[in-house]
Amino acid sequence: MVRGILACWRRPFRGGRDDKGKLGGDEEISVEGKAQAKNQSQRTRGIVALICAQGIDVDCASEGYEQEEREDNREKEEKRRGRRVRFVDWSHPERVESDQDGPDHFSALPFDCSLKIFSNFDRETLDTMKCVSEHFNSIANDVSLKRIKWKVDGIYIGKFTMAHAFFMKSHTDNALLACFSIDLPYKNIISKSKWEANTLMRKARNPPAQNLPAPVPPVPVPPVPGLPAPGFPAPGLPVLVLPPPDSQVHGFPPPGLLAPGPPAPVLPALGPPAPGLPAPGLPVPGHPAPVPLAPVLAGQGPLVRGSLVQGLIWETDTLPIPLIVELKKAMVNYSPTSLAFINIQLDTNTLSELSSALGNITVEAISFREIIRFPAEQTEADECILRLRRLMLQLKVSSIISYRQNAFELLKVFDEGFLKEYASSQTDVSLTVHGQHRRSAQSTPLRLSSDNWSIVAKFNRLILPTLIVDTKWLLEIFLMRLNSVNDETDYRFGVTTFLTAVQLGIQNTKTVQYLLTPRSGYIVRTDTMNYVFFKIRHSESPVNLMMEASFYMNWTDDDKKTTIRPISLFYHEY
Amino acid sequence: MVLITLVSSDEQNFPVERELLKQSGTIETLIVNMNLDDEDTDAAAMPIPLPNVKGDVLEKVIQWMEHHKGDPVKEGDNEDNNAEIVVPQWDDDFFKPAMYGSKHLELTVAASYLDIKNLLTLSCKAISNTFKGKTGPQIREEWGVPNEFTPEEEEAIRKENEWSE
Repeated sequence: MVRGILACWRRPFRGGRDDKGKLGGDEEISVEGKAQAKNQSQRTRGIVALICAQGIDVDCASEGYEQEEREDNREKEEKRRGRRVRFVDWSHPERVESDQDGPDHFSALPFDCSLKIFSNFDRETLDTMKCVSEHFNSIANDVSLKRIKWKVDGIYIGKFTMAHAFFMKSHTDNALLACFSIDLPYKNIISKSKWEANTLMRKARNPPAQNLPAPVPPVPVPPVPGLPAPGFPAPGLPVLVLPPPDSQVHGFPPPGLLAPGPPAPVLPALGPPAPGLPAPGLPVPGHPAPVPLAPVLAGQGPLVRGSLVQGLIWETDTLPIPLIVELKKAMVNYSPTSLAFINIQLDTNTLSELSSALGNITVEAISFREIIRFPAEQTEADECILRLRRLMLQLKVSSIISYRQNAFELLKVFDEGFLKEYASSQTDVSLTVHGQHRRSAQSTPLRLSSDNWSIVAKFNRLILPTLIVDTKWLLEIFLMRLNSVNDETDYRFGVTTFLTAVQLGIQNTKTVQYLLTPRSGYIVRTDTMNYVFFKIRHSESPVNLMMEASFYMNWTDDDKKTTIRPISLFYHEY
Repeated sequence: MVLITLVSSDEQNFPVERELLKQSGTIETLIVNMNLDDEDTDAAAMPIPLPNVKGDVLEKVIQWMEHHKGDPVKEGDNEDNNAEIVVPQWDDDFFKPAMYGSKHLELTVAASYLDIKNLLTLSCKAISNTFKGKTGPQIREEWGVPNEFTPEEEEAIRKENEWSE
């Protein structure tokens, strides 16, 4: 019966992994070996060999073994298995034979146990563990922990997140809105961004005691004819500077309207600037300093305008009444400066509800995406257009972003009459409407094809304080939480989760300087400590720009040589 | 009540209720395959040797199983929810005396060996909690982990993960 039990006892030790990574593998304990080991352990000191880091096996050193023989066996075992073998006195496991001082209990831990422990870490702790020892480093770099690396406080830093964050920074210092995709982690992200994200989260967890800084108003600088408006937030980004709104342009801009944006303040040159563009690296006169964005103090009540809560995003096929209520509540509580509506059917009823919900709240930017499907009936469509215009005026938006598929309809909205009305109601703001177009092989970034369109209506100064958002997953979760709230705590939790994401995105964009250079498309680069730049293929839409971005690192200014190490931001393993 | 005897590596016998052992996937499989819970057979009287578990560790494991008697046995691993695991107060107190020592790790190894998922999960969580907020040198000191890096390697790794400090 004993033999029967032992014969049944052939379950490989769970901690073991063979050379192919298979659990258990050939680490199975033989019956005879185990029985022999057991007997020998009774007669000897009970030395049990633990094969560390890869698993545990049971063996026994007989009493007559010489030290040299053990050493030889250990070396042979190391060579054979290619891994470390440590001999542990099982009766006194704290006594680990090691060339290091002190016991190393963790080396005796099966690999899957170590993984199990490490799987409880967050990114910060996981990276800290890499610095502890080689053993810890190897565990922390295990592929099974990959998902942890891109998860911050329960939110995965998704590809859209960084893309939009970079886009934001490239367009404005007062970045408003970031988006996070909670189910799209990507494995490669620049260290700088990791550092920023981590710093941000740390600040969020330990908010500074001082009061939230007041937003720094942009310095008004009178426009100079022929030059891009001061304060245009995209350093080096060519912009279309159009005549006054009464001579708006549809489709192709006339020749000569392509003007460069202000250069980046401190960036060294990436290469020869494009013809007609100023050399990068020059200071920007009148360029407003970045607004210090205070961290969101989770659960500490409404935040003031100018703080991190600068954007709210809403996505729904329709705009149900409960959502309108929540929207209004959120608007009141968090005073966003930006709104985004995604996939909203802008019929007259929805617009009416939206106007009612938003009341007299002012936002600086509003973004629509794939939303405008005007009714087929002309009367209804006209009414809808009028309502949308009124909504725009009501919200006093300075930036409107929509997409190509809505271009035709939007042109009906933003006609000359509207622009005049808009201009009369707004001072010191601008209206920017972007269209999205298909990927094109054209090398000039802002050369628009015939089926593209763009309107840039420039008034006193250009402001582009908004962001195109595609945060479907986050929004769904967020809205789901809002829709299922049972009490104030749940509501605050949902909002806080969302705001944390916003906060992350904003902070990610805060400290990095970018340069947009039209060289075979856009090249966005940073002079951060890692010399990171982004090469972006041509596209009109900044969103598409980022979506098509390739990612390189190890680029240095000194030798002007790029170590091509493409790490796809947007094609990643799940 | 069926009692099954577990024999530790140091030859200590531990009679344990059959019901408790359902928490251990390893032993449960063995019992079912060998009909060790059938009182009418000779097999019921046979002890189960556990050569990988010492007596004091096995005693702790049994103590834990007794406290968690009747708890639902976890099915499979759900790594995604690891961050949400909270170690109950009793378990926290249970692990605390062995914290920062080999005993805690032995308990974890035993839980893994015996396939007691709940114990393994809580034990790993308790260990991982001790790491949080600590620096590398602090972890080395507390857990007796040798520093195998050369200063250059350490500096390189530290720089690589600078953002986390």
